[in-house]
Amino acid sequence: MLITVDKLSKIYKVLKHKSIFRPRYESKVALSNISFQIYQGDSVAYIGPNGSGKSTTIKLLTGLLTPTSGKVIVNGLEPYKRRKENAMNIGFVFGQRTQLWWDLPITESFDLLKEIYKIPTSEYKRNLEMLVTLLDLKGFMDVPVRQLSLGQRMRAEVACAFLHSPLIVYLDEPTIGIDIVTKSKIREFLRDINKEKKTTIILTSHDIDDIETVCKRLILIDKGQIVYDGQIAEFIERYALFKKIRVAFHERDIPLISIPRCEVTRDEERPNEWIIRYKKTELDTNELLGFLQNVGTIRDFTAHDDNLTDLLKSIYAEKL
Amino acid sequence: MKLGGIAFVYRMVRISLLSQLALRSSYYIGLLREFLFLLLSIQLFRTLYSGSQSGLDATLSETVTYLIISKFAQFFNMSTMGRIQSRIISGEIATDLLRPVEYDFLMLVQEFGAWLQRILSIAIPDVLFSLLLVKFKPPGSIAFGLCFAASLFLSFLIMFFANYSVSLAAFWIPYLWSLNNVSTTLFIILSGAMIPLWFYPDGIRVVLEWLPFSFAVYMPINIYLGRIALEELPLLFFKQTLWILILWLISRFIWSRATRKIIVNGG
Repeated sequence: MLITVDKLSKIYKVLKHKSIFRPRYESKVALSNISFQIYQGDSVAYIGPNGSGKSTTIKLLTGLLTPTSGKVIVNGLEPYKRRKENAMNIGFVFGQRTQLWWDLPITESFDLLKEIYKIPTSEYKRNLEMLVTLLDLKGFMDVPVRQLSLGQRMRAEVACAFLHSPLIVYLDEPTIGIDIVTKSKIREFLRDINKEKKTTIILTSHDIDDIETVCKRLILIDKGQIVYDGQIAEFIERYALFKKIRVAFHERDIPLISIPRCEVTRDEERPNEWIIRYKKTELDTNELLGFLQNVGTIRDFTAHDDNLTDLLKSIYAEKL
Repeated sequence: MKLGGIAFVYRMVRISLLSQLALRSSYYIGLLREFLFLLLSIQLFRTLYSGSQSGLDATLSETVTYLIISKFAQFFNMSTMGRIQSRIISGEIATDLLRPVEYDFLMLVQEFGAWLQRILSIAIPDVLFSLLLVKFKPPGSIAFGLCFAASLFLSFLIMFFANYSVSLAAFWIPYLWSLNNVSTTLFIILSGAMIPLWFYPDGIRVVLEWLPFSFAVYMPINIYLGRIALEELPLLFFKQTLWILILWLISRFIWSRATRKIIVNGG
């Protein structure tokens, strides 16, 4: 067991009434009584809508916050009590922040990290070589960071997190604002290093492709509570209750279709195309098809089950 | 210190030096301003000395030498201040807390690099420039020269922890620009960096000689000039070390308060 979170709660005191003499505080529950366990080599997507308690959890796991009640144990120690020891075991990438020296080539930042984490020279050389190859850093090793593109910089940031062979790497929005090619390069790197080096990866991202490529497990959190914890594949199986079909008619002037137990919308750009969403258990696709044939002449027809994006969208909207 | 520690210091100083060198154009402008300012203050003291002959503790050449040597002890408004404060305001301080190193040590080493850079790029050009203008006194003897260097290093530590403590106030007060200005000006006046303390009225001077700031500029330069007897030096070094210790403890106290504030309350 690498990480154990046991009945963890965090309540913030928020300044409510701003007064010089008698400031009043009110309590805001950020996490209430959550528990989960993470094993060495897991790849976990830790997701939820904004303000759900994601970053509070990450701060508690890294030792930047002390719990109000409950306990966190990471590799045998409580991170908020022994932050520096815990720091040796972890790496991190926070998409909005940088750990590189702005005016200098990335190699200077790497060399400094070698000393900060006391990485033995042979291990450092091996890791650096691997990271340079996998993340394709070779072309811009000697260029000052301020002249790099965001994609190049982000790849270097990711390399920083893995240089000291950490047990756990926390990634918060590592692909934000990055082009598709770089995004998939980073994703594939994370997936491979998790597989080969058994580095535990904890990823928070709003990009569903990140989650699907990198992670096997999903912890979904909302309003400070865990809504789902399990394999992503199982999650889809269990919650993908809806099917979505897109149908195109030859006729452009069909009036609004109304089908019982279905959610029907017209495509705004193509008025002859319709999107119909329904619960698989409540309606038979064949039956629906028959109904649609009476409405007009079907030119094209596609159907798919809800994917992770659809699921999360509906969960964020309705909170399951 | 372990060997790994030395490598860390080397890396950090190197990064600090190279980062400063990246700002080349602003450097030349700063240097020009530096020369003008030196020229003016030398001229000012020349006038002062030609006007009054009596009652001055130091000779003109001592005063001028003082002014030039004080360039080695420019410990005001250290880059640490701005750096820490902007990291606190932006929240980047969180990533610093996730490193397995003491934050004050990280900052200290970085500031040391910045100091070396200032010596190379400002103090030494100032010395060369002043050679064109005035007679410049060498140190009293080799021993005084060495003691000056040692004392200067202790001064650096004193002023680092003073600056560092002030900068940590950003945990409570978000925009510290005015506090920085006030503290920097105070440091300059109290340390005798712009006007040697021997020009101050006796009463004030005696008080100032007890404060840590005089140990940061005034005392080391007096050692350079040979104005302090060799047998008084151990006591002086002791006082400097004592101030380092006091300021270090103060900064540690503020730091523990600040991190408790973040870690317990979520800042």
